[in-house]
Amino acid sequence: MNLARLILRTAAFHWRTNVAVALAVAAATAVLTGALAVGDSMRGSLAHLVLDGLGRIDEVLVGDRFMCKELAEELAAQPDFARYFEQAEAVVFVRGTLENPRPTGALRAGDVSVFGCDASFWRLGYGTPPPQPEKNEIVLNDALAAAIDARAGDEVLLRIGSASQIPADSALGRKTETVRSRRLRVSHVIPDHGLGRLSLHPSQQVPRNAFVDRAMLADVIGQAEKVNAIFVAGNDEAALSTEAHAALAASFRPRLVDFGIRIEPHELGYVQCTSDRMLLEPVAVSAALRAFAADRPQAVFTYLANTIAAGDKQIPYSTITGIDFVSEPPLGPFKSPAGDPIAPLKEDEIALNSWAADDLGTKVGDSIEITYFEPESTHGRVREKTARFRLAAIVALEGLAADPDLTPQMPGVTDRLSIGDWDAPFPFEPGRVRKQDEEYWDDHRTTPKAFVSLATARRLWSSRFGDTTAVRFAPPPGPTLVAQADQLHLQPKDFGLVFTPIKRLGLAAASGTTPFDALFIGFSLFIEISAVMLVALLFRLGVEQRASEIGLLSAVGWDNRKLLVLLAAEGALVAALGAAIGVLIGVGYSWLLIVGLSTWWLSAIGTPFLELYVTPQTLVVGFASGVIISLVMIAWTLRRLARLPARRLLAGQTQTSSVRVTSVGRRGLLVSAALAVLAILLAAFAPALGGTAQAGAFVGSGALVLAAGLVALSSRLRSGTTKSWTGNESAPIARLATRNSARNPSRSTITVGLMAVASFLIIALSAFRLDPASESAGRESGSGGFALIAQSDQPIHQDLNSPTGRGDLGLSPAAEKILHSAEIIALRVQSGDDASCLNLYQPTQPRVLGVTPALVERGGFAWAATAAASDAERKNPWLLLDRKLAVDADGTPVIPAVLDFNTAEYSLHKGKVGERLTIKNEFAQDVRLEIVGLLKNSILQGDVLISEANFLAQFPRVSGYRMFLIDSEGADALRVREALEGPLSDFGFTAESTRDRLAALFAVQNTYLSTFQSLGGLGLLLGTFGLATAQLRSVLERRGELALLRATGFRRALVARLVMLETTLLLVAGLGIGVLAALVAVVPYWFLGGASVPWLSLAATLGLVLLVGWLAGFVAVRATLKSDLLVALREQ
Amino acid sequence: MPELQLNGISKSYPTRSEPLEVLRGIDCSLDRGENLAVLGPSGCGKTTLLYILGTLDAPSSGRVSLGGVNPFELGERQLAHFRNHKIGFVFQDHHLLPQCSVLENVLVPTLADGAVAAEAVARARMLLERVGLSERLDHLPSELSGGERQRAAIARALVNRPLLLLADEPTGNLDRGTASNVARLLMELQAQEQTMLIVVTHSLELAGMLARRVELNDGRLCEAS
Repeated sequence: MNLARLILRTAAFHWRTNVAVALAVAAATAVLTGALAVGDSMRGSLAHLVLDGLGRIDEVLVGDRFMCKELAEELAAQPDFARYFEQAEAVVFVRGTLENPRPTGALRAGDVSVFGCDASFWRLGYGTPPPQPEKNEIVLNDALAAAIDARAGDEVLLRIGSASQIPADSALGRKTETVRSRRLRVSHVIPDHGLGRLSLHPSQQVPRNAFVDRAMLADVIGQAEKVNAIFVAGNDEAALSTEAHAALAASFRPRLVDFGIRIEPHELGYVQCTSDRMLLEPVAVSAALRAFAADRPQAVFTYLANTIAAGDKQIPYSTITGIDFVSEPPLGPFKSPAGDPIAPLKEDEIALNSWAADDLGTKVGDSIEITYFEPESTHGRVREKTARFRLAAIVALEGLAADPDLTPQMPGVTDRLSIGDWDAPFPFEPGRVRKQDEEYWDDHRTTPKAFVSLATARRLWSSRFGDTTAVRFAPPPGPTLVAQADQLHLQPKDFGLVFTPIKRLGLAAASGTTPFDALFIGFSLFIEISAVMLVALLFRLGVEQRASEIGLLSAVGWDNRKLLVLLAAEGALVAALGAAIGVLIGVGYSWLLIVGLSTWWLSAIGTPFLELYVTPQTLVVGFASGVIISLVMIAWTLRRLARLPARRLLAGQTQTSSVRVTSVGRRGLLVSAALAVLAILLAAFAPALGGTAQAGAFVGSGALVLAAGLVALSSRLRSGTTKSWTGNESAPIARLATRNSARNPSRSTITVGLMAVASFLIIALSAFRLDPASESAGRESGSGGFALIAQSDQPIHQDLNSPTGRGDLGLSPAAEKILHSAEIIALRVQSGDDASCLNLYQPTQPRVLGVTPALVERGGFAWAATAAASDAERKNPWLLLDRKLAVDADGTPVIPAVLDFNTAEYSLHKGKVGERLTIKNEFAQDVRLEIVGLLKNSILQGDVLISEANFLAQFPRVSGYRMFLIDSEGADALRVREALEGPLSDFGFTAESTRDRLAALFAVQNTYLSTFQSLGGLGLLLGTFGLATAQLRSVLERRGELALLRATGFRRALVARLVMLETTLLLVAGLGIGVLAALVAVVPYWFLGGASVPWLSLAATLGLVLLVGWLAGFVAVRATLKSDLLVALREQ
Repeated sequence: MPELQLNGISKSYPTRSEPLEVLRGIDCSLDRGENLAVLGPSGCGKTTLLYILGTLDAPSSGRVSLGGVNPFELGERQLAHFRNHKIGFVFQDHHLLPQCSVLENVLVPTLADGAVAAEAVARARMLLERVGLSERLDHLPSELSGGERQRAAIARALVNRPLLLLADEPTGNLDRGTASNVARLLMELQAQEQTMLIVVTHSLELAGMLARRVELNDGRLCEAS
């Protein structure tokens, strides 16, 4: 005989109660393990999607600049590359629209990722690849094929944007006919896994992928033999390391041609550095000026003058060069017809070449007027401006002044044989071109007809795209061009050519925006609480049953510590057994939750991609948590028991005192009243708080009411002030039932608490369901008063608000009629990760929107919080986007940004105004954003919004607009949508109603609430099981009493009624306190319109609980009535 | 000084109206080898007195001295140790642990000190042999008759060689014949172990077997007639 054996013997002897406790522990453990396993499954599944979609791809480079396709081979040949990687694949990657032109009506799918690939591309994936598509073929993934109902053999129409090197937003950039189409035959439809779900932005949504022949795609977009992407595949895990990433960056050595830059010697003796984008990037200009500082570098800026006029004479379409004249060869000299050097030009001075001066009949000192396009266009509109100069000199058309290479190349213009043949991307009137102009073109091509100083040229024509068309220099004889190119030291990142460790980032992002384990621990909280309370209740019942045994041990000299060790050890044994069972059930529970998330709660995750993953860590943590939580509850129960004197235990009594003192009740009621007042105050202030504080205040006020109710109930039960059933009072049976409920105050309070807590949360949370209809009404709502939100795959440069813009886009007069009153606000878009709640991956670089002044001026949207300081800002918080903020401590510029609250709080974990987040700009530099406003339940969830000016400074290469907010101004939104979608289908323009958009976003929150409620309901049922157990125990304890009632003439029905009444009293008390707590917490929101109570489902839930509770009571009644009266009486 | 000395022991319980006085200034003393029967009507406070003697309940006032120690001046752990070594209990209801065998039940008090010494096991066997249960060592309480259970309870009470043996209606649940056997056994063992014995009982027959009889009436102790 030893203590361990006694513990084992005791545990085995009381196996019935111990099994019940073990099952309750198993329930608590299962819920925890299940929730943790859901987290594992979420992370595991997201990581699996990343690995599946990327195949062997570890790093990708996707730029807006087209490089020579051989660059990939050169990269792969670098020794450092081979240490970590084995394949570098040149790819053309564009976004497009695919159309299935069926006779019954075309089906279109936008947002299609189009990969132009060679046969070697398929080695990047695993498994059997489809045959490489021929030039006239296309391979689709299942999702894309399904979207347009296409099958192998069908003919489809691919629409993609042309890849002009000259930015469309520059005055000389092409804004129309930017979409190219190609009819292709579907050769294969591949499944949505492997490369079929290759995505450059991690998302659990299946991407729409199309694969075509690389050479064909490059041809279609006008970039033959070039690529804009390189996909790199590693040979093992090491390829995911930061060392591998650094080695890759070091191995990547694009040549000048890949940056679109040329350094060419000129027959006149100088060397010229130019860009195929017409304007040299500022970074290239500085590099050239720095590299060739010793070679007298000279910046040149040539622009187009629509007209050079002197009096009533004018010359159309001439180039004009900003240059600071030098006299030293080979960059000079520029001479007058008399052979004199030309003095430097002042700010208001101009020099004409002799041809132009003759043509205009001007002389030095005359006034010259230049008409030109503003250098940056907005909404595709180019505006003409004029500038006046004094003719300071006439330059002889010879030598350097007769150099057509002062003008950069411009496809469609500089390469044409005559001016009349120009395919100009700007408003061009061929009728203005005279015979002598064509002759000049024939003789001198693009030779500028006028000169201004470089400073003047930059003042008039510089833009975000640059202020220099060439840097010329005079190198000493010797160095080769290659050496000159090397001297530039151009960094690929300055041109947006940066490798992204896509697999490493994807795996990191798979940790998810939402910690699903924590979320489901929260969702399962009430099952957990119920299970834990059940552990306490059942353990307590078990111990109470053995009160005299414990009393005996105390009587024979066991001290309290030893007694506690004995009971706790037995409890631990039972808890360990229960937890072990619970871990197994937990895995099943998580499987059920995953089934739920893939079916009933699908809206929460968007697509059924979840698979069950369970890590050993989860099993260990689940087991340990189950044991620890149960032991804490057991210890709590035992602490109370240890305070009881042995003589009471010997007598089988487990109540702390038989003396009921009214003052205890009064004190309890006072405490309860104080708690209630606190709750009301907190609930009243909650709506004024923001974010987490508000949620805390909401839960806090509810919890305080719960506590108040339970304290009041407990003190009333303990005070013994329940009314006597003697005398002439009405309903004596009900009074007797009340008195019976007070027999064991702790047990009754725990039971009522179980019901109250669960019903509180179920009811309170049901009031927080979001209604898209109410949230999208009016300008100050989540929709901002816009009826539609639209996006396009290709940028639209024209103004959709103007009849001219609409006309340029080919909208019909009928559409014009519908659209004339609509207001369309365009936004600029820099692609990035979807940071809305629809994407489960942790975003690393969210999508950025440039908010145009039109939206700032219009205002609107509902705001959760703003940094508004002035009345104007408070009235229209969009003005905050124009605030000038001080640079950050490390010198990084800080830009004001607006985000949706949910995006900020849950995706980016920056939920407060004033918080800062860092994103990368187009040059891979850090940009710090400071949150100046948080939108509430808005359609703009998932994006970061900054002002258009700041947007263009950070993303200058982004041209045109790809997002549109449409206020139909009373017109039928559906007709507006049709009027736009049809004609703009080439651009992949798709619109959806803001209500639908909100419904999709709210579905996530509402589904989470449903999940919480469903699991809370389960918790409530478990609580009801606790109630049943307690009631059963209670009637078994009172078998004798109840038998006595029968013996004294109570009918069976009356005894049954008494027991049922007791159950009902506890049920009603629990539900009542829960409902009251919920109402106190919700009512302030209700009045403010932030909550609506779904009465029907609420009534159904409460009704179900009552029903189950009564069933529990019925079990107790049956047990009572079945027992042998005589035996019970004899036991008394 | 007598081994057991009670001076002015009083006990009262709070009620809603006024405190209920159960014992009023009890004085009593007893020496090793002596025994005493406490008689009295139901509710007179006999059991309360017994529990105070057994240190399971503290007096409202007065002083108890057992073996020269006032147990109510001890801390919880020392008090448990004191009770374990100085006092043995026999209850009306035997309170045997249903999950333990007869021998184990007798050894339960020795477990309070941790491991069970071989000497304790030998003594338990001896005591069980003495009470006539040597053939039933491995039986569970549910396999014993009422008298056997009570005899096992007596053996348990004596296993730690207590100075004071307290018995609360030890024969109350037994039939006449069994009760008489159990009572005789109790007396024999008390004499043999030279312990002090105090028996609370309604049974005049049992009381008659003890050397001294007192009656508790209105909270006061007086010699019984």
